[in-house]
Amino acid sequence: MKNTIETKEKEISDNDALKHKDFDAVLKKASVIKATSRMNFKWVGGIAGVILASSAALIYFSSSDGFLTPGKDKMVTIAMITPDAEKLTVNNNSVIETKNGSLLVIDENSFVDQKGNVIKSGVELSFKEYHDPLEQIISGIPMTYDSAGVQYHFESAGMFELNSVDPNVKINPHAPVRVILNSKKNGRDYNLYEYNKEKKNWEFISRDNTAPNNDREKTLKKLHDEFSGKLSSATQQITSLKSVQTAVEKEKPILPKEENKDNYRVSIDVDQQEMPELSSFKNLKFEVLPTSEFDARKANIVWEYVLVKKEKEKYILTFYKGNKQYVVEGVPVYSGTNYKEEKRKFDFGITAYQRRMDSISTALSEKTKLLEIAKKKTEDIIALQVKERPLIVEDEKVGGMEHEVLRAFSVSKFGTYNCDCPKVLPTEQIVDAHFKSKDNNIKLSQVYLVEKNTKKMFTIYDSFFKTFPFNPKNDNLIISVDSIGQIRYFDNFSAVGTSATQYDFAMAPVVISDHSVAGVKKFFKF
Amino acid sequence: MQGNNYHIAQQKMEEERDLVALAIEDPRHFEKLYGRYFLPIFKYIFNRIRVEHETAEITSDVFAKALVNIKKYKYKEVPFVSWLYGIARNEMLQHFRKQKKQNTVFVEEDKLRHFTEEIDSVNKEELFEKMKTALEQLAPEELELVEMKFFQQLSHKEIAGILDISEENARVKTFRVIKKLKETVNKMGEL
Repeated sequence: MKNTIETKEKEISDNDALKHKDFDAVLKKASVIKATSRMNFKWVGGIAGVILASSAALIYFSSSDGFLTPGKDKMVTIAMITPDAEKLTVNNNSVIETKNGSLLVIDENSFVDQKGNVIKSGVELSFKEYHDPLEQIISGIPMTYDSAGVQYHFESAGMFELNSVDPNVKINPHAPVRVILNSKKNGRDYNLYEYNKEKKNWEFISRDNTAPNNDREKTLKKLHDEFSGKLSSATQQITSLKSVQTAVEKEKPILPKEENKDNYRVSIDVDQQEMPELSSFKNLKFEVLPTSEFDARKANIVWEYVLVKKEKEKYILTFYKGNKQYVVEGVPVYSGTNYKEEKRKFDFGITAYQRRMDSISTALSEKTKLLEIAKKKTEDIIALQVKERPLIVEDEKVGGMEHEVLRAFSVSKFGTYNCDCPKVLPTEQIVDAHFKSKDNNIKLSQVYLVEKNTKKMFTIYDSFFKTFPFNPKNDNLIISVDSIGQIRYFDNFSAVGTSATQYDFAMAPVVISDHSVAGVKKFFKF
Repeated sequence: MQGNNYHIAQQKMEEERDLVALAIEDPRHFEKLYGRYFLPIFKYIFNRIRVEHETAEITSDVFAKALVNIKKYKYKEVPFVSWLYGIARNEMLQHFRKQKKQNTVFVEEDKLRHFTEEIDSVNKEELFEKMKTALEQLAPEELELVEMKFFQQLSHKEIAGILDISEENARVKTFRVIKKLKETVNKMGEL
């Protein structure tokens, strides 16, 4: 083979190369290679190829030679634990409940695309709740908070991650999503925080003032009151606007008609407040319509009063004297000399009238939309109120006093949010700690102290690895992640004793077959 | 490629050994090794193939074959990445055979100048012009040694791992090729 040397400009950039990174494709390819070599398959053409490729994945997942052996107990690493985020398809203007009993209140314009255009169709969201230290450890998100140079450890009353499946979807900052998190902790000393992914730290949002008894029922009632209040307010505003509309309609100016002196005309003093449509007429007269059989003699009678009633484009004039009455039909006519000027006034009047009517229509349509929004949300809430949902009672066992409390977050961008109470490390007992596996020393990259009874979690930093603080009165558990991601633990604190100042913690690996979050929680009896 | 990045410490090698053990147990653990070595392997292949999609395909083949044969990886103080380079090298040779392409080595001009300077720092300008021709006259396996050692800046230990020879053997072979190159360019000067 002949060699050729060619000079080139530059290497491919990391970004361009990384576009081709696809581990799933490697796994699939490996399973096909594995299947091909195992089956000793003789290729007979395209169809066989298709059959082989489609069966390869099956073989990959059913292999029992160690290539992949589901169901078999294995040491668990952080990377192996399958995330259990909930996929939610949400429509605009809705109130939905997650499987854990949290509520999402979505506005009409809550979601926008990259250009800021409101997305009218449904949006697929990924919602993940973290309710105990174990779930938080698995998330890999640091659960510490720096305030004025002091490092605090979060005692979480609930944390969640809200994301869009489609990365092009954003939350409209002008119409935030309300997340009402089922926090399952009823204390009052909590603050709301948002996780800053870039800076890898938590940022304080506000104090949380949720009442300790704000359970699902009360939350739904509050929401119901809020939206049914909006519904009733919108209904009242619509009723009032409609009555204004009817009143204004009556004021629609009538185009003045020049009087015809050959026809009979009647002069009547009309209260223009009662008949505002006639306000542009000067020297108002009603010209008797040819449809009326007018008796000229009646003109000589002094009538006591006359009733004027508008009927479409004409007026019914009813004259009364004692028990006598006389009815004619007429139209208002202009009897002045400057008809052009009167026509100009009419044009001005009709434009103003139309403008008023338009603004009433706009307001009516806005209020109707608000009414529909409030109505839909009220209906959603009523549906949730009547829906039977089994209470999550296990948390009530904790100290016999915990129960679910719903805490509200206003979320104007996708991300991770937390309701937490910062705590400092326990100081009741401190031991010189030495961590090892069964036989050897091990290097741990993360060490957490979990108080199972209080559900508090403390992240123990490198500097503390050797001085390990804990409160011996609590139900303590150490969870750690070693340098290759394996989860290890230690829970035999009775062996440590309350007077020990030094201890070798033998960190046992977590060996289970169910690698889901639930599987790990079950292992630790969370 | 920054070869020196892969002169990995003993501790890291032990960690790799553990990761390999885990990957034997469960292929999903292979992802960490894949993530760690995707870029160097991709760039190593791209350096020769120069076509992005073909490089991506070969890189994927390399890792798939590594995963299937991971039990065959023997921890003998040879970094895992050297083993991957070895698979990548075989895949590329196979690719060239299939495509019936000639063995083309792409090298940045700066690297070629630097290499020339290492051969003879006094007459480097004069030599640079002849170096390309001299390299083209080497046997493919000799050129490959030059490429690995000087253009890709791999260590002798890594080269030994890729070619499945001893480190000493890799050192001697490289020395001989350089000697041969010097002789070739000197002869070209006499003509």
